[in-house]
Amino acid sequence: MNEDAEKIEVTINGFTEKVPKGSSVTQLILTYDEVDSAMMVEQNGRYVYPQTYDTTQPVAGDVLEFIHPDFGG
Amino acid sequence: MSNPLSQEEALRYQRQVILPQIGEEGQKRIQDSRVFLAGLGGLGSVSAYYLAAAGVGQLRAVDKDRVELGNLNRQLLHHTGDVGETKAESARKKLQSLNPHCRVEALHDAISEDNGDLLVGDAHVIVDGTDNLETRKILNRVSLKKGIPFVFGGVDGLTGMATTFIPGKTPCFECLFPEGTPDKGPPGVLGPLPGIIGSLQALAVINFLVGVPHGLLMSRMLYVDGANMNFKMIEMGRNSRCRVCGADL
Repeated sequence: MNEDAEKIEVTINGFTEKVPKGSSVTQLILTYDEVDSAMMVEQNGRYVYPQTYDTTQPVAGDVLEFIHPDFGG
Repeated sequence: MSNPLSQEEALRYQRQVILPQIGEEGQKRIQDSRVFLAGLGGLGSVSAYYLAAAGVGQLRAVDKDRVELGNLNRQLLHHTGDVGETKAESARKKLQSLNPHCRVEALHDAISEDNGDLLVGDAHVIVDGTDNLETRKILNRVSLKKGIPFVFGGVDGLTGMATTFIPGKTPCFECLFPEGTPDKGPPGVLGPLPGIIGSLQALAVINFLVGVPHGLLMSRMLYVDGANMNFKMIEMGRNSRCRVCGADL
């Protein structure tokens, strides 16, 4: 990500993080090394579908969770 | 509808029949129900116990495995003396002993694309007690084809999740999980986690059977983090691009 870009504060996996304004979910997944084909992304309590990762840009104050789903029984 | 409750049944179910959400009418619905349970492991052990105890009329449960010693920290249907027995037979004995009014059909079989439809048969609801993505995809498609709910549950380590997929009303399993996932081997699991999730699944089934629509986890995924004792709900819209159910949006 661009180090000089304006930063916003968001909460990612419970931690406050400063990320470049305008970052997409795709970029954040890469930055936080959360790549997993079945991973779930939650934004402010709502599930984010993978086809919108590129166009979803969290804003200041957003709460994001990268959840690795549970498939054991 | 079934006959009025016998004296023995009235006594057996009295603590749930007095609930306004159940009542005698709800109890009859439970007794007239047919439930398909896929898997008799950690999740299936607990959901099966509660469903049989609640008086489900017919419980058809399928599992291809035999009981192993390493199952016993979490798979409460199976006891030390059952090691080596099929999970189906082990489960049948316990469930039939718990509630002889529940007709238990326990099958030692693998669920596949070829037999999924047949195994589910005329069940009113499918309960997920499996441990893999592929079987869940098969059950999801049977659920969509038959128009019956698919009550999903999954656990891994100290976390678990549950939701109910209802054809035409909620996302389907493959809306959320269209891709495979790398096989990381059997996950660590602490017994109370499948206990919690299996219990929630049984509760969702009973709520469905008696008509408590808000108790189904429709379009909501309950996520349990046992390490932090945190329960949270994730709201889920439908996925218009789902290649399995998206066409009916």
